[in-house]
Amino acid sequence: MNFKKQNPINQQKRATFGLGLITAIVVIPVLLILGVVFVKGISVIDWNFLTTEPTNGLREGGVFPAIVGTLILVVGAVVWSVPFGVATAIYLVEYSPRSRAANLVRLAILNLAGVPSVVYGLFGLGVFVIALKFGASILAGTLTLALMGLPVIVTSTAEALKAVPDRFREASLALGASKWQTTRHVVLPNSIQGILTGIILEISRAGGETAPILFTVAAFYLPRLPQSIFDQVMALPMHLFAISTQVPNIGLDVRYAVALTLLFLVLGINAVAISIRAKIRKNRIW
Amino acid sequence: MVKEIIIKSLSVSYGNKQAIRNLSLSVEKNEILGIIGPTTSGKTTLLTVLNRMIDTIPSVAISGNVSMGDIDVLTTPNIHSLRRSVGMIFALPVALPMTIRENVEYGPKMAGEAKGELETRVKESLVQAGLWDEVHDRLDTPALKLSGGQQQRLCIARALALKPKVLLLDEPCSGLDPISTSRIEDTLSQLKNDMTIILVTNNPHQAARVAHRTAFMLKGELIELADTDTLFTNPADNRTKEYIEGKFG
Repeated sequence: MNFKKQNPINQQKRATFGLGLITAIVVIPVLLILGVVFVKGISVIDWNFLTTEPTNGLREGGVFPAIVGTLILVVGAVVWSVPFGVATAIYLVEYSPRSRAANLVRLAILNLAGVPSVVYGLFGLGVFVIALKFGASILAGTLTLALMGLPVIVTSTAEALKAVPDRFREASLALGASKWQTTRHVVLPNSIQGILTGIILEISRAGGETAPILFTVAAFYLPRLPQSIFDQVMALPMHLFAISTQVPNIGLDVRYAVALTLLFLVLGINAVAISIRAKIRKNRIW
Repeated sequence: MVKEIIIKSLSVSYGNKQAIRNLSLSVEKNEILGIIGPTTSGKTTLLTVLNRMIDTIPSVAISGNVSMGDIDVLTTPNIHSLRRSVGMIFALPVALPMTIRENVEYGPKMAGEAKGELETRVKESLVQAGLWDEVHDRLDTPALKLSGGQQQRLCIARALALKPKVLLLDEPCSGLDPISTSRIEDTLSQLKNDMTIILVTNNPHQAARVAHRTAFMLKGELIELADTDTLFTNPADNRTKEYIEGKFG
C-alpha cells in the first residue's frame, strides 16, 4: 500500500489550493470590472455631478434626478413585493396542503425567475400602464419591478421558513397556540435573515434593470423630481442606456461615472440591509 | 378516586400500520401514571392523542372514546383550550429561541392572558418546576443557553404557566444525566398535588421510583396496569415480567 498518495494532509493542501484557485478565477473578473468602472468614472464624480440636474441634452450637468428616481424605484419595488412575497411563501410552506396543485404553484413561481426582464416590462406596459390606466408612472414601474422580484422573495422566504425546525412549531402548538400565532411569533422571527437575503438580491436587481422600467416609468429627460406616484422618473440604468445609445458626443468617462454612481447606490442600500441582517445573525441563538 | 381521564377502546393507526389496539384505561386525579414498554409499543402515540398533537400527523385514523371531565377529547372543536389544560413535555427539551421569561410567558400570552398577570405567573411556574433559584437573575437571557436538564425543567415551567389539569411527559429524561433526572423526578412528585401526571418512560426504574400505578404496553396493546409495587414485584403477565427483568427491550 502506498500511504503517501493517500496522505490526508496533502489532500487537504490540494483541496485548499484548488478551491482557492477557482474562487480567484471567479473573483478576478468581478474586481477587474469594478476597478475599470472606478478608475474611468471617478474623475467625473463630484458633488456637482451628484446633486444637479442634467443640462444641454444630457451632455452636461449631473444625475441627481436619476439617483432619486432609482432610489424611489428600488424602495417601491421592495415595498410592493415583500408583503405579497412573504405572505405567499407563508401560505405555501405553512398552510397549503402537500398537494400536486401546491407543487405546481411552487414550480410556476420558481420558473417566473427565468422570465426575461423585457417580458416583465411588456407585461407592465400592457397591464399597469394601459389596461389599469396608471400611465407611465412610478406606480406602474414599481409594480412591474416588484412582480419581477417576487420569485426571489418567495423562494428565499420559503427556504428560510423551511429551515426553522419543526420541533419549535410543535412546542408552540402543544402550548395551545394557533397555527397563525406559531407562524407569527416563532417561525417568522427566526426567518428574518433569509427574507432579508431575498430583499438584498431584489434591491440589486431592481436597481440595475432597464427593460422593466423602459416602458413603464423611466423618463429619458426629466430634470425635476416627481410630485406623485403617477409621475415618471429618471433612473440611472435608463440614463446610462440613453446617453450611451441616443446622445452623440458624450465622453466615455461620463458613462463610467453614471455606472459607478449606480454601483455605489445599490451597494449603499444593500449595506443597510446587510448590516441589519448581521445584527440579527449576532443575536441568533440556535 | 375521581377519574381524570377515561379511555375506552381506543385504536390508532397510521396508514395501514396499527399503533394502538383497542386500549381502555382510566387515569385517576392527582396520580402519577407511569407507562412503560419498548419502542413502537404505542406509548407516545397515546400521549399525543390525549392533547390532540396527533392532529399534526397526516393520514392518521383514530377510533374509540376519550373523555376528560366533560370534554370529549377526540371531537372537541377547541383543541387550543384542550392543549392548554393538557401540557406536554417532549423527549428532547425544546426551549423556544427566545429568552427564559418569554418562554414561560408564551402560553399564557397566546391565550390572551393580561400582561399584569404574567410576572407572577413566570415566577410561580419556575418555582414549581424547581428552576427559579438557578435562573431568577437571568430571566432575560436566551433560553437556549441553559443546560439540557435546565431546558427540560424550563419546558415543564412553560407548560405549568398555563395551569394545566394534566401533564404528559414523553420520556422527559432520556437525554439527561442522573442528577438532572432526579431533579425532574422530585419536581414531578411535588406537582402531583396540583395535577394529574402521565409519565411515559422506556426506563422501568424511573416508573418504579415515581409512579403510583404503572401500565405496561406492547405493540399497541395494554398488557397490564397495576399499582407500581405490584407490577414490579408480582406481574400478572409473563411478558411484563420478562420486560421488567430486561429479557427484551
